[in-house]
Amino acid sequence: MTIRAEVSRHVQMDTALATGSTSDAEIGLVALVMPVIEDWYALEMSQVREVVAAPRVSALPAMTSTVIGVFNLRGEIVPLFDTAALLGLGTMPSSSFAIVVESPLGPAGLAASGVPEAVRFAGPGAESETPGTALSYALGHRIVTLLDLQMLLEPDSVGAQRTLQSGQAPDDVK
Amino acid sequence: MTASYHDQAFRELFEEEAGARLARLSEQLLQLEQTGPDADLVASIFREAHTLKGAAAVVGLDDASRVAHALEGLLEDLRSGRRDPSPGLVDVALNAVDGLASIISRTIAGEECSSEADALEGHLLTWVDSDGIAEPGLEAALTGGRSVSDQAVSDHGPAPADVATRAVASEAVHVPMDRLDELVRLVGETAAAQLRVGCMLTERFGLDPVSVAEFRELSRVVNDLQERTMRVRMVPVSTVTDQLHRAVRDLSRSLGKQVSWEVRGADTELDRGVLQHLADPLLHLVRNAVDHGVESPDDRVAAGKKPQAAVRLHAMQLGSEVIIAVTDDGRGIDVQRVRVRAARQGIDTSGLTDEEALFLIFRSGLSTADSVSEVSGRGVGLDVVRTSVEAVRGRLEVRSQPGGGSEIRIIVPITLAVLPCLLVASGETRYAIPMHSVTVATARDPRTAAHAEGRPLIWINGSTVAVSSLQQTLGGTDDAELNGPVVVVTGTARSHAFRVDALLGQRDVVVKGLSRLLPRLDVLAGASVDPDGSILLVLDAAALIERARKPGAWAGEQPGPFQGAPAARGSILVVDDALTVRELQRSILERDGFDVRVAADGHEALALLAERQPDLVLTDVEMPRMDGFELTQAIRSHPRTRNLPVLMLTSRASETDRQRGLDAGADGYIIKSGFDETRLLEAVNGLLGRHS
Repeated sequence: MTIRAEVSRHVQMDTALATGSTSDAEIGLVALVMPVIEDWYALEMSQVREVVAAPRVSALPAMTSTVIGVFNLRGEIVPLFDTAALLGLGTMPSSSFAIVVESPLGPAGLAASGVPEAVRFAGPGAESETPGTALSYALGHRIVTLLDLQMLLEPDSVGAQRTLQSGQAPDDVK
Repeated sequence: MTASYHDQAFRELFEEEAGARLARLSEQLLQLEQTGPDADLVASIFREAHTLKGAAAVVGLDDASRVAHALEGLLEDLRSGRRDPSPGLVDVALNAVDGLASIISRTIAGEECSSEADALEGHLLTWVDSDGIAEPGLEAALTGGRSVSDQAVSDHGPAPADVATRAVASEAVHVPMDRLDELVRLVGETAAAQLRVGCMLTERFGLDPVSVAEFRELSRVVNDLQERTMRVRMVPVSTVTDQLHRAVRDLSRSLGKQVSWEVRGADTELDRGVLQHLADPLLHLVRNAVDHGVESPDDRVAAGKKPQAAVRLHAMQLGSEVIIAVTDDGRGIDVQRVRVRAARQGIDTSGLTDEEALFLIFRSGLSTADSVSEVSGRGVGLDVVRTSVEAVRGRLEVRSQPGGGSEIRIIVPITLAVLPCLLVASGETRYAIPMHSVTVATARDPRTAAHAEGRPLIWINGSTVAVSSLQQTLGGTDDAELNGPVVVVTGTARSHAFRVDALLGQRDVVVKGLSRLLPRLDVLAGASVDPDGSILLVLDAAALIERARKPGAWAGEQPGPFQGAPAARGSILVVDDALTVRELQRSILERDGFDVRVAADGHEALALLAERQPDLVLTDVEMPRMDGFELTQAIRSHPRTRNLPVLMLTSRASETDRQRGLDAGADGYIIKSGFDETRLLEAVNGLLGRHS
């Protein structure tokens, strides 16, 4: 809860910064950086609704590996996606945090392996290669890849992931 | 224009819509007068008048349309900045609003309003042509010194014939379905909270809740609230029977058959969402009955029957379910022919009873028709009927008597919002199974166990039923439930037993749909949030049985979330902010066999496009939030929708607008005031490369 409150405070602070009168070009891109297995990914702060620590997830039976399950967010049933699986990087062994974003088809949670942090990217980003990503930024010694939320959660992308991973489907009843 | 555009139902729908729009217009004009020039407010006022004009033209209220057009001209002066919202101009605009209200209601009541419309139109046009300075004598000349609304009062009855006022005072209010759904959900959660309070009374204070008067009162009120909230969503079956009657009439005439149509129980009510899902299946069953079930008059006479056949729809409520039966007294379904056709598809029917074999007509690709017609016989349709019925957690029954006719029954729950469910535990998860599909729930008794053809069975009431582990069916591997109780569920066509770890009880569950972002999973009907905050998954019996009976098939066969149900002719997304126009277009296109979804503006349309891509988009131009030009540009700019045909249907008749539409990427441009059903269908079919 402490972590959640701290993250929320960061998010609110930096969201306010991002929506202030100063232009993005002047202050750089404000983003929420999250660890996903061994790598770092980021979402534009304006896309982040809230961060939930240790969401209580209910697994969905026979679901694609891109979907970890669903969780209750104040009465709303929100799907939690495996960020690594959406990017085609395998599956995450754990999802300590859910980054809740808003999409045209409703809210969604993106799983993060550890505590997310609010940052500001100073310079321009470099081109990234993975589908579902937009740009890469250097943040100290870390390389942080900015996610393209729309592409990442596009229904076709999720469906395609499912098809690719259908081999992992459990055995059927004999 | 065809007569259907002027159907009283559409005019009445328009009257209600116009009432709301005119009320908004009045309110916004008054607001404008107070705030002074405000581009957004003026744009909104202009859009209301523009939409009103288009919708009035479409339903054949030409007098109202031309007055709205003249009002639009006046507002265009405001929009372009040529005039300021002076009190004189607002007076004229408000008088026009009053006059429009009067003209609309009187025209729909059958009165002639040309002279009133002439006066109003002339007044507005004079204003538009003037230099903007009020001409006090003009209005007096037109109205004899009274305002138009005053005139309406004295000339046409004691009450102001003001649709805007009536909209407020009306006994009916249009409420979007999502708000009703939210209300139902909240009431359901209130009921869940009330149960928690009951538990708390027992656990913390050792009290029997029933002995506490306040708790009893709370329970009574919550139950009443729940029942009345559910009733709000109910609509009678008669809502869909008119189009069925029309289908029977048109089809029998085209086939040279004599068919009478009879409806019983039309006032039977069920959830609007359920009935919406049944409209197409019922249409299909009725068309099938006329096309294939009913014989020609000569054949009927030769068979000793009356030349006129009868197709009947009978609806009735039975407990928490509604049964809708479509019956004909035709030739019946030849079960032997079903078996032959099934055998050609590689289906072994030797072990099936006649009743079970009849169910094969609901399989994809299996038709017993001798020839393919425009109406039916391609073997597509009845499987879609089954899919649609299962989508609302219903089931089908079929009965047939050779030479005597057939009856197909659709059995659906009255509502989907709150379902009585059996709660079971399987593995570490709790599931809810809708009670309407539960036949038996019993402790496991080794004496009832059997085994045949490599699969375990269980004896239930003298018959054997295949049995599976629920956990394994849902993808798990743990066999802990080997000795657990058994739940027998019945789907559309058959029963199946599932072993579970424990039976947890029965209760009403407020079912919510799962996120549209998730890939569709047929075995889940939805989910519910429990009082303790955990999520309860609700299972779909028919899909569960299907999955249990088709080992190895599900991974590849599950329909994805973005594949629509197969439609007879194609799918169309209709985008228009005018309710009347939207519903009229939907009616025309659905009657022609299209699967139609609707959106009220460009934003809504883009969300629906992301969910499932139609074959064509039919869009208005002038809409709030995102107009038709912007929508078309957005469609053209996305790789997935770049080649999607877009047809614009608008009351903007200028060549500039037409060119702008085509420049934005539209494939066609139809003017509302000049469009009719034939022209619309020709344009749609032309873009889809099909014949009307």
